[in-house]
Amino acid sequence: MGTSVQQVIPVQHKVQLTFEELGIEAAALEDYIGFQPGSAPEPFPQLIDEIFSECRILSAQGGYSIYNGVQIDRTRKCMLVGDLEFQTEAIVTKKLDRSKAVAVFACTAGNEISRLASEFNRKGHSIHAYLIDSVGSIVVERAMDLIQEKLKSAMQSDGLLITNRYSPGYCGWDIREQKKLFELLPPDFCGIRLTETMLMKPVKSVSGFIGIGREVKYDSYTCGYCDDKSCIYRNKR
Amino acid sequence: MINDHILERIAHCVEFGKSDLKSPYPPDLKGQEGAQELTRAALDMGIDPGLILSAGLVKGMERIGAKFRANQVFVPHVLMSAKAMTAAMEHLKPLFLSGEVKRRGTFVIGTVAGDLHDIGKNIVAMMVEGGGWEVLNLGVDVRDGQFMDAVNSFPGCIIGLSALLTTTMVSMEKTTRAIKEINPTTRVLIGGAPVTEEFCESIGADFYTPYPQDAVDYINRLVPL
Repeated sequence: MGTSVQQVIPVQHKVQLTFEELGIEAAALEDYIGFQPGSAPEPFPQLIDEIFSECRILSAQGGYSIYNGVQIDRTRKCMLVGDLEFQTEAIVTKKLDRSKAVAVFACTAGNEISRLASEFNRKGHSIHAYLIDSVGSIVVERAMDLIQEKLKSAMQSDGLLITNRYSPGYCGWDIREQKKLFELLPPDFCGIRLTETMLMKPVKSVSGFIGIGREVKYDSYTCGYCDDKSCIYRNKR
Repeated sequence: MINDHILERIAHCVEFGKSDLKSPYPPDLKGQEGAQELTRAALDMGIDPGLILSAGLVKGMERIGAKFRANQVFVPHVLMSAKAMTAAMEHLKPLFLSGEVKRRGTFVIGTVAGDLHDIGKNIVAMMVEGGGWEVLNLGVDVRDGQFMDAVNSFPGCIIGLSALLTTTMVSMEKTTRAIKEINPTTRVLIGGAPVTEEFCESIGADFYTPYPQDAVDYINRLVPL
């Protein structure tokens, strides 16, 4: 019944991306912090330039492992990956439905960006700290976008499609299931570890699942699907 | 009248994040004096420093806080306002130390044990300081003991707890009960994405809000300037 996860399967795809390779532009940060791209007032363009100079040494690391023989149970709202049962709840179960395999992923912007943010805060430069913290969030999501594109291309050659990314802690999926997710990755993968409180360290890290199959869908994700009114991403600005 | 005019200009500068003459932000106040210069001028005019604080600086922060609550402005705007407030406060700090100007009290804030998120917590800290409070920001991953030490070191202080994960908000109950055991009259405010009004009531905390300005309004009502 599915693949045993007693022995962790080696990661099938792992990448390291430099800040330059990530292709993050000032407009992305302006948009993230609430300004129309190209319209941030002084001194923000200069501050953003300063922050980007600090970020040139940064890189992101991430990758995924593919598990075949996945079972999605819409009645019980759960997903079986090998011997591990995930209580994915209604939204994610529906979105992963018809997946025949899943890619378990993790990606991080690393420790340096958090260290820089703390340093700025310590010196009382709260705006710099906020900007670099925002860059950290953009970096890890952009890195994961690129990794997801690589997965999509790899699956296309076998006539397979992929879904959006779904993670414990969102869409009603209990964050404590992160622990089971991390059992599906090699220990200390990309230097990411999970604390007792399910926080990933480095903080600017993401993890989750992407469904794979011939009949799965990738669609525009909107907050309207989810009833978590307190989610900080519901009204990002 | 002249006093009211300069106090309103100070409030305007704080509201719109105009720190000083050199600052190019906001664009429509470029080349004009900012909160820093106007506060100095107000003191030189003999205006009561407590009035400068309440009718100038705090007023400005209240306005930006209300706009932030209404989603009319975003985090960068609040940070610029806080920067303007900080620039002006440099002139008032010696007066706090001498006792000529009194702050409302001490507000101790931290992200609870096991949690490292701090952006929201820092915004609350800035806005509370803008409300006329001395703020002790304990940082992130703060153990119960640190909050309890603060309660003992700063009699009458108010505590703010922040958590961004369902797994860490449970620490709030333990911390709240520990604080209330030392001093049942200590007010405890809680906030963060997974926190709710129901949770606040269930753990015996005193106030919950998702909006920083509501937290400021609540504690300001406890201690008027």
